[in-house]
Amino acid sequence: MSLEFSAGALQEIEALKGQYPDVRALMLPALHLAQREFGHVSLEAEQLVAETLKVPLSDVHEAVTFYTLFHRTPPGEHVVYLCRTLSCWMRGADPLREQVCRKLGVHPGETSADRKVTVLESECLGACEQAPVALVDGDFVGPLDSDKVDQLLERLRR
Amino acid sequence: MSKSEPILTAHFDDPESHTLAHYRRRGGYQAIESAIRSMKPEQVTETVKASKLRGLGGAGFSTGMKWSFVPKDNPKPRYLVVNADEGEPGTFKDKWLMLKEPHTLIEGMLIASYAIGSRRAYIYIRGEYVRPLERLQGALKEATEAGLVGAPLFGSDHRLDVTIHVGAGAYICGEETALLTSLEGGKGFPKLKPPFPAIEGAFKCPTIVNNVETLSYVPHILKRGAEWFASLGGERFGGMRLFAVSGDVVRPGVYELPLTVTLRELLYDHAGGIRGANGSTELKAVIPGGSSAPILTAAEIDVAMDFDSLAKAGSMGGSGAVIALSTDVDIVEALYNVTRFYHHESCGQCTPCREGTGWMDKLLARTLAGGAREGDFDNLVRIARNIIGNTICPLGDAAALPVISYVGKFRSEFDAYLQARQGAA
Repeated sequence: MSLEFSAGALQEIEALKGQYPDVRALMLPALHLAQREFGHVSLEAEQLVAETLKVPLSDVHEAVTFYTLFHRTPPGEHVVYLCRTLSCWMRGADPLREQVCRKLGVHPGETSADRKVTVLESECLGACEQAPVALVDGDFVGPLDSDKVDQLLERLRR
Repeated sequence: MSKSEPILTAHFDDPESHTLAHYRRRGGYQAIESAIRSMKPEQVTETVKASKLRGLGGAGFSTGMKWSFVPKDNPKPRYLVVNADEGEPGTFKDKWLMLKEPHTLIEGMLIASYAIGSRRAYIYIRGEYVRPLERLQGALKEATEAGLVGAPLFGSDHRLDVTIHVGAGAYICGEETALLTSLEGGKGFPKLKPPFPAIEGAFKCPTIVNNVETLSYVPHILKRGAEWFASLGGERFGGMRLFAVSGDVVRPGVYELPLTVTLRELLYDHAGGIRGANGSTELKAVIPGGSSAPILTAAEIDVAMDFDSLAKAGSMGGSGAVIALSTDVDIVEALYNVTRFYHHESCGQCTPCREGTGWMDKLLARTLAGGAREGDFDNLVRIARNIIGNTICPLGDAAALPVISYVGKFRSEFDAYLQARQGAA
């Protein structure tokens, strides 16, 4: 297998083993580590996690496909989650998402041709006071309007 | 006015409120110290019970009562799990507590762990909360270095080790049994209760799952007394809570207020009144406790925001998330948004929820596309009624209750879609 965890990641996994009574509980921590190390969780990375934790590959695959935050293909340089749930929708999330996708020439779930921005639709992000809101590389950005979307995309594509 | 002085949010404006030094300066970690030095664990539980603190994640169950359910004679380890998987649409209060008051949460955890006899705690935080996670990690590092976490406390043999467990994007994991399944490494499937987690939870051991805000009030209750906290509320509930207000209001945000506040006061006196996306200043409806809560009309907002009053009004206090809908909002579209959410987030384990949310989603999508048919809305309600009570976890009910209440209270708006189609035909 060509994919390997770094020494640092392996150390983190070893440290975590002492914090749970069952190694299976390391599923999400190990998958997060894999995503941090490799940028996305490929099938190869799933195999690596399965072997590292000594759990069936099917369990790893089940977890990766159940949760929404694992990228199964390489994302762009920046990841933008656009909230579509009630408060954001009421404050205009739909037209803003269309604007983002039009400007980038993508559908939700896709990455711009310059590989700069991946656009993902999301359910409630927990930032309704900033509706309509986006989660951009870990930071909440909002309330968005048409001008702010343009500025955001300009910043991300620089 | 002193009754509504903020407790958890009192230092939100201070840019240093998240640091250990700041927390110590205002008496931080004194409550756990005096609890360990002068109280037995059972006394702590009794104090919290007497304060009438109720679970502020959504269920509203007595916190002290929950703690008292941990069996005394079970030799297995006991776990404390913090539910920081805040995901109920409209809810964003725990995010601010973790950003601004992470040490208050940690002290609340220390006290809870002492009360229930737990030496290992997990904080399950939603993966989208990247900055709150960083704050928690920073606070945990400070607390560990200060000997408050991971070391015997104040000359006793009680110690608590804390691990932060990061979720990966799944609303269902906010439901406590799904959260535990997820913590154990599985996909987030809820489990049947009983056994309740207090008897058999994480890793088949007695486990107490408490919400971030609930635990954060605990140090204050120990410091200022159960009676003080109880006196802030009413007969069956103590204290204040953090209301997360969003949607069509002038000032969306977190408001920490006594549970005796009315929905009208919250919307108009605190959140600045109504402002729709297209400028409407007229309220049409409010969802008072997260998107699962049955909707209230503009005529029903003179209701106190405690769990019991809202239940009596036919809705629920839930997570304290208040979403205001102005007359700019089409109720059918709003219900479609909510229903699509539950369809997307249904874990798929129980047939009534998996299939029912799908049919409700499809039926509403067809209505909005101009395809409403005679009998559709009765069918919609019938599907919803067949979900309620027939699923393992409350997500099914959470999907069904909005459908029943929106159609019940705004039937003419639904029928207008049917009439528009018939008119066109």
